[in-house]
Amino acid sequence: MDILDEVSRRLQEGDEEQVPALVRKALSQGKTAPEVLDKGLIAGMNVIGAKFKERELFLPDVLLAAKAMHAGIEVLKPHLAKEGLPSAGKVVIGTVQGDLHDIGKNLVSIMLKGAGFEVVDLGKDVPPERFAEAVEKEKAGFVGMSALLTTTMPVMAKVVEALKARGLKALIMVGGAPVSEEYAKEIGADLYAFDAASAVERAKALAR
Amino acid sequence: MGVKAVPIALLLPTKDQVLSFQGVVGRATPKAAAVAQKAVERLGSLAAPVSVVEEVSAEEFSAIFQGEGLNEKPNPLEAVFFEPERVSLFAVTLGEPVCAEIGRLFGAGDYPLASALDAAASFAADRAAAWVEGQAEMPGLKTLRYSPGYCGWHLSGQKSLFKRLKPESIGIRLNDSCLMSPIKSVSGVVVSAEASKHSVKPGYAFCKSCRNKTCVAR
Repeated sequence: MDILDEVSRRLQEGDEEQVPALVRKALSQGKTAPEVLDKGLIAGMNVIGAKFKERELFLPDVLLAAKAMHAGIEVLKPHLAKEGLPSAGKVVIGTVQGDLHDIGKNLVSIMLKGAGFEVVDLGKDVPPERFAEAVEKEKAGFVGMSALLTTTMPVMAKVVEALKARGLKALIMVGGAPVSEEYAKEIGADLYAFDAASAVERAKALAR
Repeated sequence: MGVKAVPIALLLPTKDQVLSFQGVVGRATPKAAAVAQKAVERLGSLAAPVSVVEEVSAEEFSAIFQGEGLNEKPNPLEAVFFEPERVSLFAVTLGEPVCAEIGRLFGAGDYPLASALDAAASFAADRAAAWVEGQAEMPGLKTLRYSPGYCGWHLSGQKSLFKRLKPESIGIRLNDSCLMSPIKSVSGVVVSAEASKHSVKPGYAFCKSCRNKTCVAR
């Protein structure tokens, strides 16, 4: 079995010890860091994502694979810094001001990283201007917002305004329990995602 | 009534309940099951659940329910809350350490355990609220709980509830967005009334975005 296929297989099994060991082995065999990332780690997460979508496996297994991927990426980081980090896109993500729910946002962040996106996670209770500043500074192509309360949803519209005021063209993704497709359209967001898996799928489609 | 510790042993989920809460259908992988079990044990060691309950008159509750006047109209809860036998405000929390640990695990990259602990804690918080509900049962009547943010009771109702009940006494704070901290907390009202009063059928405008739908089981 090709070493990168082995990386992918072990990642899918959630083997956080073997994945970094195999990543080191692949590098020592002359594979480049971007190759290991793309054909080993991301390839493995893509299989996980597809099985998750078909309900062949579930969130805990996705997260075990993501943890194994994180362990593999830690080994790749110094090499990627030298060779440059291939990326599906850059996403600034956060839970809006006044809201402290972050489990959904964390899951989206983890799965976006698994799909090869660079993620700048602003955390929770993030004011609109901070979203806009981060998108500008990071030159992010996407901004993702989460809100779990009807009282914090309106802040999403303020983030959209803050981005427009700076002339930023990042694609805007929104999600959270009270949010809907209709609400996303109403505030001028580009996409609404019902859950973490659909957020990644829709971001990948827009990134192409 | 008053402040009471809630026995943690009554609230802990099984690992299968944690997995089910995380959306697992059928048999979980051994690794996932092991993480779920670890989450249950971690929850057991960190959670310190405590409740505060206070009975109020129907008239007093009516003012609390009306709050800032932002409730949905028509509102099915108007009938539930009309002349009940007993109304008690409540708040219950699992405490800050559990919530802090979930954040720490996510920050440290231990996503599986963070997610499982979050699921276990959510399950336990709901069970804690059910425990409070059970403590308030009256013979011959149906006793159920309702919370601001559901069934047309505007989330801002938390403000008038907090003003009266003062859950700060058990460490629960309310921010300007009406979000409670620690996040694994539940607040609301427990109502004892004739069973037929609690019958709420979904079909209101606000039901469209509801992901809870426990009204169907009532």
